[in-house]
Amino acid sequence: MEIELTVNDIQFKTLVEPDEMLLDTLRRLGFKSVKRGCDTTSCGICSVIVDGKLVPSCSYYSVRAAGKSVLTVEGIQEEARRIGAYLTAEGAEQCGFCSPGLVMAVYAMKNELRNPTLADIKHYLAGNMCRCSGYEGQHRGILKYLEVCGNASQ
Amino acid sequence: MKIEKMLRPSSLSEAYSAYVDNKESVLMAGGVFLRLQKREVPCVIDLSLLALDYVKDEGNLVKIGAMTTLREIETGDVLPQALQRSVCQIGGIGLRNVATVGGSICGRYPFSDISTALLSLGAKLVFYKAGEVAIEAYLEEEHPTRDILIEVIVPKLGKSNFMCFKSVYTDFSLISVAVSYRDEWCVGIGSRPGGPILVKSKATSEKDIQEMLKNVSFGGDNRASGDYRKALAEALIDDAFKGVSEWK
Repeated sequence: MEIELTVNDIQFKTLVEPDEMLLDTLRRLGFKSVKRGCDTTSCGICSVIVDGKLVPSCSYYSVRAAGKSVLTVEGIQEEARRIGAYLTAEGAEQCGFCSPGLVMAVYAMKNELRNPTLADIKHYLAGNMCRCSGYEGQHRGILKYLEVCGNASQ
Repeated sequence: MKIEKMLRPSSLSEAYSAYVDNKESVLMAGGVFLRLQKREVPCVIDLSLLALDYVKDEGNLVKIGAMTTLREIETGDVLPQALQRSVCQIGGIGLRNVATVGGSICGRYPFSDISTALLSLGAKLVFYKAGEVAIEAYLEEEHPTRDILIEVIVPKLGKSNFMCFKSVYTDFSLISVAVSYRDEWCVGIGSRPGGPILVKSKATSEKDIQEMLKNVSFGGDNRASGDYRKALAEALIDDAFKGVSEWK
């Protein structure tokens, strides 16, 4: 099936299989920040944003991305660097495999929630697993990042 | 799941014809759980272009399109508390942005938290050909006729609540309960680990809860024993009743 989609403001026309997942299409198109983790929608590592909504690309059929706008870490490089710096400063970056998905989730959360509390942040990011850090450092880093963005609860 | 051909109809009549004409075809709502099945399917009918994603406030009831995502239910502002709470811990936000209410019901998953809540609330399902069917009747059917779920009608009840026990925040529930008041207390119990069932009671004391659960079967599996599930159900129903009394 031929689909047209926009990835990070670049338009693509590509052939996809009926059972192809967006994760595979994106990687084939060169967006290698999108990683395969559990492949069952449990870990959040493959998260991308489609038409403003966070989705697990491992379980999002490529045909459904036809006519839609997809955002990956490559499309928010400056913001990703900022988020990454706050995570690193809190010792929350270790192997880094979960980082692209986490960065996309934090970016989506910043746009979706106004002044989230720590409980809101934990709830929003519950689908993003990290097997190294234990989350405390991530939460500290994310709170500081949101504070600088002017989007943190007091 | 290996898919040979995918159809993307733009009208319900087109989707229905394709579904009944090809007995081996499968309907796809969100597709999240469907893709995990290990089988080959000759034809999948994608329902995402049928404009079935909506939440309509109609006074005493709410109409939810079958393709409405769980996240839209979670963040909606006119839905009963039991329904909203039931979707909050189903996977992460990403999964809830893809999984739909229709897929959760028609997948007939025994672990479905949302079916447990809808059962308690006395929801009605609207199918393309069969029209309105009570969710209780639909879940009891062993082999439902091939049809397409269009929308779910949920009464806007003043008092309802949902509680579940999960070993991990976003895991499947070990047990889930939903309570609502409709002339009497209607309690949905899911993840027993059998499919959700409905029991009723006039009152909410500990003795009433025990009486209510007397004929409910709780099974054991590698995650929890039947006795453990029953003990959890008793405690959660008690908490849910107390929660309802505090909720405005």
